[in-house]
Amino acid sequence: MTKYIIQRLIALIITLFLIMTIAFLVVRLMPGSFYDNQDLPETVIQAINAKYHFDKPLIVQYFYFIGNILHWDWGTSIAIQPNVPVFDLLKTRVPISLQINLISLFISIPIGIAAGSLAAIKKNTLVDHFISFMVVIFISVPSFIFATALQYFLAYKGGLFPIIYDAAAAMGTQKAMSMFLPVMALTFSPIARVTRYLRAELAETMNSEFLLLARTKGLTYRQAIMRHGMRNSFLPLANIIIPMFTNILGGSLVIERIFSIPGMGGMMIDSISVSDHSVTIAILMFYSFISLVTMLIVDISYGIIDPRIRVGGRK
Amino acid sequence: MNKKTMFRGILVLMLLLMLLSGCNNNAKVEQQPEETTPEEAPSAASNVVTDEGYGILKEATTATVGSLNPQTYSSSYQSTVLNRIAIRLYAYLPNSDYTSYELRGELAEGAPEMMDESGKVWKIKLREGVKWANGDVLDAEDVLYTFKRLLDPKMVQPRGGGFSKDYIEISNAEQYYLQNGEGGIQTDWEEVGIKMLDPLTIEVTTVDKQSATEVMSHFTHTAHAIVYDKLYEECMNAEGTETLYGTDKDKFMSSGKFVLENWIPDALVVYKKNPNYFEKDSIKLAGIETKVVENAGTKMQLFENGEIDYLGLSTEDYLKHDQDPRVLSEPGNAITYISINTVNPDKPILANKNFRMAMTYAVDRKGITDITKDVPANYMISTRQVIDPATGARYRDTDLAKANISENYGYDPKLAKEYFDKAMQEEGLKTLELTMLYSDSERYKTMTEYLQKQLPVIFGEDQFTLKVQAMPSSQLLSLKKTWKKDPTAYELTWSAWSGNELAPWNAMKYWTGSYSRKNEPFSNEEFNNIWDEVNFGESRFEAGKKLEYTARMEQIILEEVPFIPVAEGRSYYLKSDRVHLAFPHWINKIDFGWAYASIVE
Amino acid sequence: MRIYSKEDYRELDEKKFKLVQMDHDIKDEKFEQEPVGFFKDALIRFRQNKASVLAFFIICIVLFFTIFGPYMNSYGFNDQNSDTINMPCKIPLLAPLGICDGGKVIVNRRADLLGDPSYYPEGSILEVFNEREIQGVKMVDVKVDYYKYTGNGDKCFWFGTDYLGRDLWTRLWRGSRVSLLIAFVSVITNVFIGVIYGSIAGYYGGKVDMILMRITEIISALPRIVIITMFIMYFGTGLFAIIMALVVKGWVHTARMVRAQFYRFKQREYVLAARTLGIRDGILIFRHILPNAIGPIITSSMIAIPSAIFAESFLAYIGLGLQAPEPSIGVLLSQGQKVLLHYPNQSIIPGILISVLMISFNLFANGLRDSFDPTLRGA
Repeated sequence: MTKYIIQRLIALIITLFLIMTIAFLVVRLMPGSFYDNQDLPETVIQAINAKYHFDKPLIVQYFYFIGNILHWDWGTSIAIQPNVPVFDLLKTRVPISLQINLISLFISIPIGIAAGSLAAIKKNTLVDHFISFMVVIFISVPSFIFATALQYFLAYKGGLFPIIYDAAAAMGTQKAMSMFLPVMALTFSPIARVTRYLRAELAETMNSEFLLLARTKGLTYRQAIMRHGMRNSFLPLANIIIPMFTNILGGSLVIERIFSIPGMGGMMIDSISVSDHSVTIAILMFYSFISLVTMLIVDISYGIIDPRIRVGGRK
Repeated sequence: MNKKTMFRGILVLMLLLMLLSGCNNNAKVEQQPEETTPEEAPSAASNVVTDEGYGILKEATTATVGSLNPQTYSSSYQSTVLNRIAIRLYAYLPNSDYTSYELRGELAEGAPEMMDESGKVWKIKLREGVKWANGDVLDAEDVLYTFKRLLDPKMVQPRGGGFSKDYIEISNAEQYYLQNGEGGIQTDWEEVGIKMLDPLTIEVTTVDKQSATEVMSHFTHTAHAIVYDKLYEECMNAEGTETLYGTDKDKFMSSGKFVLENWIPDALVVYKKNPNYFEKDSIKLAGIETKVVENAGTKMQLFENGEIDYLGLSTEDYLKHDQDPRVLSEPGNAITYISINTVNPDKPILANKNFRMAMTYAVDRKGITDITKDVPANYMISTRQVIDPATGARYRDTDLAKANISENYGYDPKLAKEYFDKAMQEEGLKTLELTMLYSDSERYKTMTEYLQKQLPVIFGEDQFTLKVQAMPSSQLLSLKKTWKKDPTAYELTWSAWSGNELAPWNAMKYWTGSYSRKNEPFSNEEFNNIWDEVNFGESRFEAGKKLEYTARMEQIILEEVPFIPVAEGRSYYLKSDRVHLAFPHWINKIDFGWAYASIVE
Repeated sequence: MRIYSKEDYRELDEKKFKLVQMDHDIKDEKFEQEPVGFFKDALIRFRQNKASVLAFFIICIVLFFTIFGPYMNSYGFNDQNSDTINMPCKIPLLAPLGICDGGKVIVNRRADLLGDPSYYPEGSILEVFNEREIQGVKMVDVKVDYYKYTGNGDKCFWFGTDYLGRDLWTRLWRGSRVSLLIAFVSVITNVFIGVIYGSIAGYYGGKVDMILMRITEIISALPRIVIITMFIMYFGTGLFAIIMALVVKGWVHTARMVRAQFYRFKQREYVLAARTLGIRDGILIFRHILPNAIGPIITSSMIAIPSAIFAESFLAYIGLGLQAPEPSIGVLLSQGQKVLLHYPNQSIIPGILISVLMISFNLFANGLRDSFDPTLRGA
């Protein structure tokens, strides 16, 4: 196992390096630069390009880039927040998005698991049908409709919550209140996904022999599912939670817009559309890093969740 | 068993509900004192202007400010923010009876003094006793430091070019600024035409003969606002190429009408009245609080709940309030027009003047603006532009300007078809397919789809097709600019142009032959000559000449059709009753003057 | 105890052997019924699932409208009319119920203009309420028959119109045509690539798996928006670019899922048994292990169809959707979102359609999964 983890860690570094190279190429090959779009004289643009080495061939620029990264210098933003080191830029926004998204994920996974197992235990009863119905509603109604409706009815008409996120408030009730609606709007889809997946998985596990054995042993249907079935269904569940985790980091664009949250949501698109290349690359690397690490954790935990699986084993 | 589980479930649910309702009560209790704070102050206070001011103006904006360093200035909203908290040598300030703007000294004590007959050396005297927010003295040393950094050859700040040469050209400034670039000439700071004579006097040397107004106008630019030298230097990196000045609320020093209290990028700006400002009595507010709200619907809800005091209306919201007496409107700013790439080798017909005439006559400007709620425009100088800054007369109100507007906003389908047939015959074409690029905004999308449907109807559906293609706006912008390197870059696309509010003739440089960064290829000798004359010629000081020249330039453009003006954008605002504006209506350079407003409970 | 060798058996006289069951009928020699094939069995089991059959019919109905809907009225999908902008729904059949009757509340009207027929044509005012005074001007809210109000009393747009006065019924069905095409093509391509890729990675494991999975990591690490922007730069905002943009990252999910299933099943006893019998890798993969993954694949790909429509709507949301004037559900939805509180019909109707599709595909997928599950065969 240790050998495998070390192997994976090395692979992770190589992958990150490859992603960095690809990101650099992709971003630099995109047409347009921030200063091109400004109404500046040609001579000034040339001088600025010379300062940032943009006048050198791509390969030379690449070495400058790698050299800087090795010194943990991710460059400075030129358009979104001029002169601010990209790392600091992310440092102020990541926690806000992360906070809201993690809370919503931590709320939705247990609820999803509970609802999913309930539906599986009560398969084909009224409870199951009700849960399935809610799942479909939660998944198929776009989040912006939910968010707009929550905002309109609970905040604007009802006055129960603030209409927008309160960025200035210190941690406390006031902040929590302003976070409530966006978190709620974000939980619908993950709850539904987890529920649906778990129900399907459990329903499949129901048909396997070891559960039959568990039943013959004298366990009730419910006990059998809780003690034996669940463990078996966590593996595929892990598989849908990872993309959820990475998606949720960047996928709340619409929610952040509606509730005016100064998070990461629109940063990627913004940085691309104003050609702030260092920011684009840094965000790209940030997302990649998160998704790679979660994937690694899940892969390693495969073996822990399901002892029959020997990770990396041959055919 | 089942009943038990259900019972348990209900219990949990009840608990949750209790928790939730508990939260609600808490929130109500907490919110109340916050809302009532302003009311505690005596309402009579609004008549007497105190050093603290009275009332907080609450705003919402879609735009965000990325940096408070004036020298990285790039957006109009950044200038709105900086004009509140940073001081400049000269500024457009309210006149004494609040009916118009006035160009006068902010940090400078009065108009610049001409030092010799040539009109090239100017002395600017500073106000005494101006202070930074921390109490330090703001004098000529700060001013000199600001300009030196703006032109710093190592930092190569984008705004250095504009400082060295805009309304006036400061001697040797550009040479100093670009000395490290290709073909740069080593220049000492001593050679640049900016000197400090004493702690309250600055001397500026220009290349050409200038008027006092031109010198003053030059220093009103947001990027030329004064920075705090100590902090600026502290925030500089080791190589002296970048500074973190203005990137954080603690890395900025206020000196303007307001003091920056709090700033969270992309979320919030809080201002407090500056009791040290030289005209502190013109500011009645205690402060301003600006939230960033991108969603138009959210903004409206905030307004109706009284959480913001005014807002700009989206088209849909405007339709809900078009009969509302509270609605304020401002004169059109930017002209939206269709760019035509006349040098595209794939579509030589674009170079054919008859075709471009056909396009002009074929665009139903009224039809388009009925949908987008803009103002139809077949002219290129927008309504708000002033032809005579001394009287504030608007260009569009003059007879010469009115003569440039044709009947029915230039829409004439019959004439369009005639010109189109002529052009097709000249080019020997049977059918024509053109591609129009548009950026992803709602307005451009609507206009493009409208033309896609309407143009073939006028030109004949079997003869003409318009393909359309959406693109992110920044990419479209740079694509447009590449027509020099790659003439096939585009065929038709949209652009917008706002010109120069107080000097429409100056902004025409955009279409002169020598201007390097324009979107569309156009050059006309008469036009170039007039532009040189109106900006640098001796006759520019004669009465009425500027109007005459400007109108002629506009006429040339409309005759030659290098592009097709379509509409003039218009904005509407809704204001709550608790805000009283100091000005009777919208004013050039000051807008509605929100900073000068007062709050009445 | 004597130990027999091969030679001993050879020595046995053949005549000593006799056929035991010579006189008996062999009952299990042959199935009495026709043998039931895999797909036929699946069909039988699918039919038993009522909800899935219903879902299948709903999908068929949607497909019917998708094909014939645009021809059901006289409006073309790109017929603009500046007199009929943003009209509400008007369905004569439902009008007596008070919904979709072409009525609309317009707010903040001046009270003194109510009697002016140039503002409010004869019979257009249904109800006046919420009288109030703003800055000395009397204001009211008015419920009007919006069709009469705009002078279109004779027209009838079932689902209303959009910002250019185009009929939304026609646009919706034409749009769902495009959306379903995008969804089907992209999902099928995704499953095809994903299954092959995932099977290879999952079955062979070890170094192969290591390398293949690193490749998927790189692909999934690049945000979709970057990839899409690249595609649009090179191919324009066409159908092809959008499908490709959905495929480039889409298959990774399927591949990972299939790989996980392989890890789960490849060390099961029956696989070991099959391998002992000398079965080739290809057959082991596709015949013995992959069918276990069919359930999740079908479920996820059926759900991926509405998700693909969603993804396409995200593209439309950031302005990189289909080339105008071609509509799609995503284009309509993102357009509607911007005016959700002003003209709710513009987002709710496509929203309902996408929900119906989602529910139907979901139920349909459940039925399919149960009927293709090898462990449930014959049950």
